[in-house]
Amino acid sequence: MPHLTTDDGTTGRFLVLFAEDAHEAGAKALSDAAGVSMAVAGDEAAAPEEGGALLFPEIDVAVVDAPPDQADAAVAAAAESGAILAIEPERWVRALEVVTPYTPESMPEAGNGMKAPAAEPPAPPPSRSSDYLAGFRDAVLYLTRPDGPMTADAGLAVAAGAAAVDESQATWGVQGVKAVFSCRSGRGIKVAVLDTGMDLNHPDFAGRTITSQSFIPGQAVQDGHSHGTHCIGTACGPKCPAIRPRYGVAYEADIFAGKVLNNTGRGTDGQILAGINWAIANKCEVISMSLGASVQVGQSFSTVFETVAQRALQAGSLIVAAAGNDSNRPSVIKPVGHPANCPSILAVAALDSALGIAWFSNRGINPQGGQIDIAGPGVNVYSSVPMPTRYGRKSGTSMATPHAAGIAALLAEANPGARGSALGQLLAATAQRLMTLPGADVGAGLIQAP
Amino acid sequence: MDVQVTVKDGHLARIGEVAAALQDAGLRDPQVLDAIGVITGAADALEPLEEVDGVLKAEPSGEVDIGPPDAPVQ
Repeated sequence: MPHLTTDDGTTGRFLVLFAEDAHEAGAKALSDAAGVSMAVAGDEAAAPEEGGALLFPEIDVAVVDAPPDQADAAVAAAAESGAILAIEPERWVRALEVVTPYTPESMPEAGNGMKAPAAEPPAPPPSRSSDYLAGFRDAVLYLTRPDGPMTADAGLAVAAGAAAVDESQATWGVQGVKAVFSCRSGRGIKVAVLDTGMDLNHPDFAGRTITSQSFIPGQAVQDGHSHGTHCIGTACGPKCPAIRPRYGVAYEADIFAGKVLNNTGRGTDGQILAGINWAIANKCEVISMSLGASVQVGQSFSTVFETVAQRALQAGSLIVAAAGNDSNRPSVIKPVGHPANCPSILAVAALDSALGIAWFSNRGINPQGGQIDIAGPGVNVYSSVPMPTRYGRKSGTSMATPHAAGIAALLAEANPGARGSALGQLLAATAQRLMTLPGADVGAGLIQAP
Repeated sequence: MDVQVTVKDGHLARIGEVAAALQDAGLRDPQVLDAIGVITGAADALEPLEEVDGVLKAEPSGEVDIGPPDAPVQ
């Protein structure tokens, strides 16, 4: 073996991933550009000869033993050839996995310091390598698939996730919905947030018009949970908080804080209906409900909530609600919860800062209203929480929903004729399409400020 | 059980009368939400409530739970 190790943990070889079933064309491109000759892996060959390459045709991956200049030429060939998806240095994941026959005594420690399980059956060296190569293939295919982090419609943080977004002046969510570029503030629009109440003494809301009501027997509006204060912050937080960043969308909207969930986060349909009734009686143009209950596949929506939502729309009040967090993607994907599954309530899905679907966000699975309507920022969302903590981060479709409510308020201000269902249609029509994500996950896309 | 009842459009103007009739049919502690045409309360059965004139639908009241303040996803 000519290249046993390098200082950075790579082997000195390169891994090449070909497009599916395109390894022949890819091998020719490599050969033409870099003079790499390709052997096909078999039972005997576990590593390429020096200066050569070894192809694993089942997984469309080749290991290329190449000096740096040859590797550069190979990378250039990759850029030219659609048959090559990726080239990267091969790493030592399990030291010596290719060259040392397996025995329990020789089993090296994995990179995380944990002993590999002793019960693992012996495997010939080539299959160990194949496991690693298959992992490489899977990783690249994940990164480059249409909805993967490298290629998703990334207006913000391409591939690198939340850490890449500069949140020093405004949160990634407020940036993502373009509120920072909007001349609208929600002025004159009433936004009801039906939740765990609000910290009415939070300094960021001093001087704001706040109407509040508790529908929880024995509990004041004062938020003993933090969820309500967080959601109100996202929907209606200030343009210029004393401590940056900006985290609120409709910074001049009138706030209606309805407490329909108690301080442990629980509430009943009856309390929620009482809150909706209060919001409509107060002519709130937007009602934000970051709450819900799980729904099974095939389960219908509540006809009571649907009737109420229709009456709300007729009265000029648009209800937006959290789609729910029951999923554990990619393996478990659950349907939109109650009451967001009502046809006349807009269901809001959650996105991360790379504009990928959040791992917990539910999908439109059930017919008749169970679809996702729109999507909003819902992962690692920074907003207000009760004093003295003042600020905090939360994730959930609960966090995406008040972004949508805030944007609805801006749209309502900009379009005085658009109320109720017309406002909902405007919210969807102006959303940023997320072409690489299924509509069942994100509906019309990421809501956008006017 | 807690219940929620919608009132038909044609009876919204007389929702108080519907609430009284619901009480006669077994609804306890009725609360009238007149802006949305809903009456909530408690009852032992839904069927008698749905037979009341002016009632569109009677449903059991569910519960929602967003989890504790420190839940990883909310």
